[in-house]
Amino acid sequence: MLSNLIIRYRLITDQLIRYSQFLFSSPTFAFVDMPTTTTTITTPKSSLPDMSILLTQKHRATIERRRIRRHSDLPMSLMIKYGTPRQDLHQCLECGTWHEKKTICGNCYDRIRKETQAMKDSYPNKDEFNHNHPQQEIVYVYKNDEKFHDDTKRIVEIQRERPTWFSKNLIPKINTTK
Amino acid sequence: MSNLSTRTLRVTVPHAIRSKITGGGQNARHEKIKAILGELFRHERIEGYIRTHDETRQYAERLIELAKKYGDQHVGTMQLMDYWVNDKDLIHKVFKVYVPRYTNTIGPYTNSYRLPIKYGEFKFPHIPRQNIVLEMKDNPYPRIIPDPRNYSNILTNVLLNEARKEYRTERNNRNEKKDK
Ligand SMILES: [Zn+2]
Repeated sequence: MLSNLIIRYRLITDQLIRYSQFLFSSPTFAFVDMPTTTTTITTPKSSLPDMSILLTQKHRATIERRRIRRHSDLPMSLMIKYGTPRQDLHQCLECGTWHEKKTICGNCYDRIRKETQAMKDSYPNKDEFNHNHPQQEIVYVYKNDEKFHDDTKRIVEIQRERPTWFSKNLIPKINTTK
Repeated sequence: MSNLSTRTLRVTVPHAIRSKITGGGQNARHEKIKAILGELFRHERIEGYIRTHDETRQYAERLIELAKKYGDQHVGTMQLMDYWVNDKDLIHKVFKVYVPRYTNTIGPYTNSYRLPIKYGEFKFPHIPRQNIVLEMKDNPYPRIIPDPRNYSNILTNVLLNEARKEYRTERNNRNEKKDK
């Protein structure tokens, strides 16, 4: 509903601006006669009428309609729409911030995103990664990890210590100590 | 192409109308899916809009399933790979990295999680735009879902364990008395 109104409003404003170039003189011509020494540039007044009249409703809503909007239990009622508390919010067990039930915690995901980007940036050869991708498993080794040599895997060393929240075993076991 | 057959997909199929995912007809839709597929196979973890990325997920699952079943000597599989993967170095990656990695896994080979919605930051603020994060399984990056916790030291669990032990010892004593 609102989207249709906004789209229609933009269309009408574009059309009016386009037609006003033919009907009235363009507002940029107002600068021609002005002396160049003036430091403050005054914007010329728009020749268009006030557009806010296009956003108003055409017909007055009936009293029945208005009373339904104010006082009813229907979902279109404003009190129901903005007055009911949301029940689908959860609190993260790790950091305690609130997030929606269907989504993951955004605060915890931010550090995972930063760490992933840092791991990608630590790959030495960017052109090889983007155009001739290595045909092996890529293993990232941190500073305090055990170093190993394996010809079947591509080993990338990172000059940092492994974060405490990033456990080394990638496949989790249920009911294990952290 | 009708000879190629695999099991049914093990991912949820989105309900969105497929032709409305992208504008520009079938060609534009295929181009979009090819671009996202290449990004997914290369980086192994990407973010994006739920409509396009959930659609692409099915294609990735299907390609890996076919590669596992038929191998790289099969004509139809290689034709499909040639069509759907734009960068040809990724075809080698599918056969040399993903197929050995997923030999023992049955289920889906990708994960997708919904990212938190940023209200009012997009072009139409009243329409919330849901983004997801798509990843291949067993990638070297840190896990998105946190480690499982150890709840055995919580007070209620300790008390319940003790109560369970007492109940078992009492029951054993009662049975021994009956046997005598
Ligand atoms: Zn959190």
